[in-house]
Amino acid sequence: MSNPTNPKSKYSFLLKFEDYWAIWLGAIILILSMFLFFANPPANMDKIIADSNATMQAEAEKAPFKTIAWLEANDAKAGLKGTSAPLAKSVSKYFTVPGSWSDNPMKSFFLSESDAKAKSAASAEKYEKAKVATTEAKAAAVLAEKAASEASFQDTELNKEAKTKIAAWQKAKADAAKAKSAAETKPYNHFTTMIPLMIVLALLFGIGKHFMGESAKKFLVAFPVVFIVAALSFFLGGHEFAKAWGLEYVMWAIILGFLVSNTIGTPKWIMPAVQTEYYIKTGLVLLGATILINKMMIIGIPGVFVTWIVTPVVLITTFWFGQKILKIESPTLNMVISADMSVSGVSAAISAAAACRAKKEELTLAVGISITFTAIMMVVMPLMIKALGLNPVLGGAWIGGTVDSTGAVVAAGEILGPVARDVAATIKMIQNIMIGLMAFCIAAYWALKVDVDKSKADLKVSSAMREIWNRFPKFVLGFLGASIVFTLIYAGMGSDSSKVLIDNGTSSFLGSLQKWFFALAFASIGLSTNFRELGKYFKGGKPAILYVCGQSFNIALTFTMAYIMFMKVFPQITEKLMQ
Amino acid sequence: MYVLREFLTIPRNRFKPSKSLSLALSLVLLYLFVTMGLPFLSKAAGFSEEHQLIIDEKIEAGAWFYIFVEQIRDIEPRVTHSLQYSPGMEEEGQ
Repeated sequence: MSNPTNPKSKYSFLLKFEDYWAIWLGAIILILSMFLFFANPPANMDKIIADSNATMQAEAEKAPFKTIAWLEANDAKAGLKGTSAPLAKSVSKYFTVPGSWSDNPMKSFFLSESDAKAKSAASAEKYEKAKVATTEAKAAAVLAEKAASEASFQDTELNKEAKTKIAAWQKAKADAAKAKSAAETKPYNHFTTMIPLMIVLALLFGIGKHFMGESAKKFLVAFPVVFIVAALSFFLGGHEFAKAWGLEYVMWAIILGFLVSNTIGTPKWIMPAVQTEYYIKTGLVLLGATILINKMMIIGIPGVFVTWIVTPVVLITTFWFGQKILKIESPTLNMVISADMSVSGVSAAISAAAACRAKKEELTLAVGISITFTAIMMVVMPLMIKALGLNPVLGGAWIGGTVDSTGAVVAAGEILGPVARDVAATIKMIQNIMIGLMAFCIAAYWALKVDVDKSKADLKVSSAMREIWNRFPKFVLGFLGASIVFTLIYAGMGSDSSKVLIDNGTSSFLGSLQKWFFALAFASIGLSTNFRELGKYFKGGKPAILYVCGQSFNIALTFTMAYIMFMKVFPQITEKLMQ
Repeated sequence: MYVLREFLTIPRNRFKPSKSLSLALSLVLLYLFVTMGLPFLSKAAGFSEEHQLIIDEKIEAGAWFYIFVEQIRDIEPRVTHSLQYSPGMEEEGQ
């Protein structure tokens, strides 16, 4: 690395360090995405939002259940998506990752026109039947709602009948939507989008490497290999059962990298592109733009208590337990596992590891433990909640606060039912938002307390502050800055427009790109890790013990808080969610 | 040219057939684990029904952040609207 105090230019350090390059690259991508979406809103966006809100308001005042008009207004508003704009669609397709497959592995990358037609034809009849069933179900729902309306919604039996018929119509509609997607299968060839993406990413990261004083040429030559490992990790994670088990690309990228590095050994010429931290930090700056503090209150005060009170308590207690009781040698390993288990799995592990500069083996271990336990918890927890006969809102909140990854939370919620799924996903989403603040606090704690050079303990305040600044991981500021900027934009635009242009616009668009960045990062981890080295960190099984003890505490505390909040203090919110 | 030059300068002993074979074998085993092992484990663990539901609903259970989960895009407005425009508002005097 170059000397940051280069006299030639006072600010040259801004181009010579990885942390700053992560911020620059992230900022460029974020600015481009803002232009792409904010300049191309869907047609009649404001009118559709205003009409839908007025309809839902009027229907909510009229009937004691969600009427057909209420649900149609909700769908009209939810259907507004920034990503539907033609320009956004044509750019987004280049970020596509290899897709799902079951029996034919090629389908992950390629589907010919004839195969697409055959698939569409096979599903056409099912779709036609589903359309007829939806029309019939809607007619029945309209009649039932009319009967309830004629009784001024005062007849409990008629209201109940209307709710049942409307629910049946919703189910038929969802089935028809699934059948439609199969009946309108389009051919694809991901190779034609992955190759240009690989070139663009290689150039983007290569420019940074050049300014950092490393060989851009060597980086560009090596990058395709890391990219191929990343693409293969998406391929393996795309198998239907890998998805069902919650074994996503992160794990496969590490394993594929491991296999190369621990058999033939990663060739030296590939190493210039094995840049775990560079990819992770850039991905995290982009991730910051999706951490919107505005979403904290989405489910009201109970959601805040279940996430923002319980989670820090569990995180700090688990870290303390690891340090004082289990006496885990590495505080960074302890912190990464504690954050992973208490906050939100892999996302928290990545952020915490980058913030406290944990070793790549420590991140690998934390992610591995989390994925293993999540695969079991996401099936066992809903079955246990069903057996206990808990309220779906309580059960959902419990799952949302304890199961690690968001996808697993939605899966576990789905097993319980629609209400539990929606509550679980919302709680987890609020918890996800914590990772920005968590990363900042960990980085500050490490700079102030852990990475302290004792020989410099007697420095003056100004020198001490400079020391802290030197130790502080700068990319965290980019991560937090992106979050603050997008939170302010979200607030300024209003939640309705923001949902269209940020949630269903920039966030969705950036999400696909981030997946590539993190896949490259985890492929790099695998390619540079020796399996024997990894074993050392699992000494005495302490990491697994820490996870189990912390998760047990998390399960107990989350249940207690969710019960108090949703069943005792705010039962009216539970009632609304049950509708 | 650069790659070719790099390859040519790699010492011969780096290309050990046994190591290359073990990589190839490991990749085959990995593929078999995904395509046959995971469905088998699903049955063996008694999770078949739950996993089939996850597959049918196209949920990416491993997605580790909320923006990567497609279903969240529908769930979030549904929850927001349910709380904001709760049916029966008039009766509750809201």
